[in-house]
Amino acid sequence: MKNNIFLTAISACIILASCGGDSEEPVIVPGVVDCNGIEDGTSMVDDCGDCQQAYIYDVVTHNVQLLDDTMAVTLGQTEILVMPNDPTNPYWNAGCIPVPSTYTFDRMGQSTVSFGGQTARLQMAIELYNSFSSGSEAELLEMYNDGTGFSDPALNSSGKKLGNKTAAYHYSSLVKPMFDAMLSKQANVVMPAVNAGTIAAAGVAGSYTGVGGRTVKVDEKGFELNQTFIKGLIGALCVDQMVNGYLSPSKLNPADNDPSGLGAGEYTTMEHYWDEGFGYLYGLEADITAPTYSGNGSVLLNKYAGKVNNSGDVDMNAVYDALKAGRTAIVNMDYDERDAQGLIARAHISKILGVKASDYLRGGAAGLADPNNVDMAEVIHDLSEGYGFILSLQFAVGPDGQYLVPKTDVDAMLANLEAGNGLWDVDAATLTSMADQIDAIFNY
Amino acid sequence: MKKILSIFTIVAVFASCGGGEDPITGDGYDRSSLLANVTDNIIIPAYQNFYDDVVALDNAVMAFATQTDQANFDIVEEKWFSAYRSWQHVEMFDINTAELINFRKKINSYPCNTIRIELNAANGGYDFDDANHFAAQGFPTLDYLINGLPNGLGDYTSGGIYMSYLQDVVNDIKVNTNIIKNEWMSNRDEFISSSANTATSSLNKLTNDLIFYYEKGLRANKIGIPVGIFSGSALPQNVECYYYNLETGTASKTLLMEAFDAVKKAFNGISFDENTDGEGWDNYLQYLNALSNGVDLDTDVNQTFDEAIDALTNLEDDLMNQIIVDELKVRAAYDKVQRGTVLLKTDMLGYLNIDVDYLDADGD
Repeated sequence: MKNNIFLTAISACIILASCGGDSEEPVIVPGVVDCNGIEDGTSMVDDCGDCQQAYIYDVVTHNVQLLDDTMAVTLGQTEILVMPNDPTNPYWNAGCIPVPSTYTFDRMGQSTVSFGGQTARLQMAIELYNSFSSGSEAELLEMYNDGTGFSDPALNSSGKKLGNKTAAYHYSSLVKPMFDAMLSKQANVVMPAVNAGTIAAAGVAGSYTGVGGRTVKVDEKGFELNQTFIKGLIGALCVDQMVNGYLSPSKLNPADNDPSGLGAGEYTTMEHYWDEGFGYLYGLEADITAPTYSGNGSVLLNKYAGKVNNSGDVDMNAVYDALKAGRTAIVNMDYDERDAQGLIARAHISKILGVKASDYLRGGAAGLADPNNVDMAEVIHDLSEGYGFILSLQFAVGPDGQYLVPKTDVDAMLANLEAGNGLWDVDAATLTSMADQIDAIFNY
Repeated sequence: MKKILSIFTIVAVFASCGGGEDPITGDGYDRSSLLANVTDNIIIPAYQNFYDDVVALDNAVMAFATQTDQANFDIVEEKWFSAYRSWQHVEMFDINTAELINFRKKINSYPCNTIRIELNAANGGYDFDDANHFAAQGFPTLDYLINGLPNGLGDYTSGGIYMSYLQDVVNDIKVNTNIIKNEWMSNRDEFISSSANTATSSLNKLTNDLIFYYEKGLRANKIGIPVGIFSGSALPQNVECYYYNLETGTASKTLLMEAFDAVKKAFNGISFDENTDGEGWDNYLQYLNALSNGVDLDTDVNQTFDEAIDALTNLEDDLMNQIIVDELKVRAAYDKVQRGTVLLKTDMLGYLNIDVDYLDADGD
C-alpha cells in the first residue's frame, strides 16, 4: 500500500512536469531559417563565417545563378547544381585561409613572416651576457642601451636596442633603471673584487667556489648579477614585448591590417606585429617550422620554454599552435579568433615565468635543507636565477589577459631575498613560502 | 577490517625486508666477478702506479728545492707530466674517500685560477680543502707553476714566492693519493662483496662513476668546453694542460687519448698492464644479450669508442690550435664521443637496471 502511494506520487510529478511547459495555444514547429534568412533554405556558413548559397552553374556560359531555395529547380542541358559545401564549389572557404600546419604565411608565394629585429636583440642579449666578466660599465651600458659595441658589425648597424624595449609596456620608469644598475654594479663592484681575488662572503663581493665546483661571481649580498639581469630580461623584454605588446589587442588595430595594394611578400602592420611577438620566442630557432627550443645559444625565453616543455609544465606545442592560429586569424581579419588564440599563447608564455621562479626558489630551499651539506655556490646560483624570474613575474598575464602578480607583491618577494645579507642568510622556509605563493597564482 | 589491515602490514614488512645485501641479483650475473677483476687488475694497479709517479714527482721537487737549476726543473716537468698521464687512469674511480674529500676536483680542476694561485703563493694562509682553492692546486696549478710563470726558472732562482707553494701542492697530492691507494687495498674485500643492485652498492656506484667520467671528465671537460659546445663560442684556452701544451703542442691531446684508452680498457675489463682481459661491463652486457641497432650492445659501444678515438686521433696534435683553425672538425669528433654517452647512459644502464645517481650538468 505504501509502495503504491509512492509510485503514485512520482507519476504525479511526471505528469505535472510534462504539463508545465504547455501553453494555452497549439504548438507550431517553426522552420529552420538558414544563414541567408530563408526558412528551410539550403545556404550554409563556411569555416570562414561566410554564408554560402547553392547556385546553378552553366558550364558553357559560366553563368552563375544563386539560389535561395533548391526546391523545384530544373536544370538546363549545360547547367549543374552546386551545393554550398560541394567539394567542387570554389567559393566554399574561399574567404579565408585555413590554419597551416607550420608557422608559414605568404602573399603571392613569398613569405610574409619577418622578425629580424627580434633575432638581432636576442643575439645582442647573448653577447651582452657573455661580456659580464670582461666589459667595463661604459661597454656594458653601450651594448644594452645604444645597441652598439658588439663584435658582430651587423648587430651594431641593426638600429635595434635592448634597453628601450625593457619593461616598455609596464612600469618602464621603475623597472628599467634596475637593469642599468645591475650592469653598473657588475663592472664597478663585482668584477674588481673578482679580479682582485677576493673570496666572496656575507657582505663581501667577489668570487666563490662551492664544494661541487661551481664558481659564482657575486655582489655583497650574494647575487650573481648576470643571472638576475638575464632572467629579469626574459620577463621585462621577451614576455613584456609579446604578451603586453605584440600579441595584445591594444596593440593590434584593425586599421593596420589592410592588405590592399600589397605585393608579393609584403605584410600588413598587424601581421608584422604578430610575427615580431613570435620572434621574441622563436627568433633564434634554426627552423621555425620545427622549433627545438634549444635555439643557437639562446639565453632568454626560448631556452626556458624548452625546459618547461620537457618537464611537462607548459605545453609549447599549444603556444606554437595558438600563435599559428592567431596569425591565420589576422589574415582572415577574424579578430575575435585572433584574440582568443592570443589569450592562449599569452597565458602559456606567462606561465613559464611562474614555473621557473617557483622551481628556482624550491631548488634554493632544497639546497639549504641539510645544514651540514650546503653548497652555497649552488644555492646562490639557483636563487639569483630565481630573483630574475620573480622580477619577471610582474609582466605575466593570466588566461583572461589581466596581470597576475601586482608589482607590490613582486617587490615584496625581491625584498625577502635582498634583506640583511641577502642570499647568504635567506632561510628555506621563506623560499618555500614564496614558491607556494607563486604556484597558487600560476595554477592554471 | 582491522584484522585485514594488520595482515597486509605484515606482508608489506616482509616484502620490504627482502632487498638487503643479497649478492645474487635478479638477472643472475655474478657481479662480484666484475668487481673483483676491475678492482684487482685495474683500480689497485692504476692507483699504485699513480702513487709511484706522485712520489717520484715529490722527490724531484725536493731535489729542485735543494738545487734550483734547469736540470732539476726539467726533471720536475718530466715527473709532473708522467704523473698527470697516470692520473687519467684513476680519475674515473671517484668513490668512497676520493669522493668524500673531492679528490677529483682538487687534482684536476681546470682552467686553474691564476689570481688565486698568485695570492696564495704571496700571502699563504690557504686551505686546500676549501672549494675556493680547488682551482689553485692539483695538476693544472702545477702546469702554471712549472710552465706558466713569466720567467720560468727565474721565478724560482731569484728567491721568489713560488717554491714553497709548489712543494705544498705536490705534498697535498701525495698525502691524499697515499690515503686513497691504501683504502683500496684494505677495503678491497668489502668493496667486492657489495654487489647488490642498490644505489649504494659498489657496482652501481662504480658504473655511475664510469659513465659520469665519460660524460663530464672526458667528453665535456677535455673536448666539449674548449670547443664551445656549452658556451656558444669556442674557449680554446680551457683545454687541459694549457701551459705545457703551449710549449709542446701535444700535451692536451696526449692526456685526452690516454684518458679515452683508460675508459675503453675499464669498460672491457682489460687489466692495467694490458696482459689480461677479465670480466668487464662488456661481459655483463653479453650475459644479458643486450642489443643496440641490431648488434650486440657491447660491440656497438666498442665500435663507437673506436670511431671516436679515430676521429680524435685524426685531429692535429695541438688540440688548442685545432680548435682555433678548424672548430668544426673537433665538433665532429665530439659528436662521435657524444654517441658513446647515449649508449652508456641510456642503453647500458637500461639493461643493467641501474639508476643514474647524478644530475645532468646543463651548464646554466
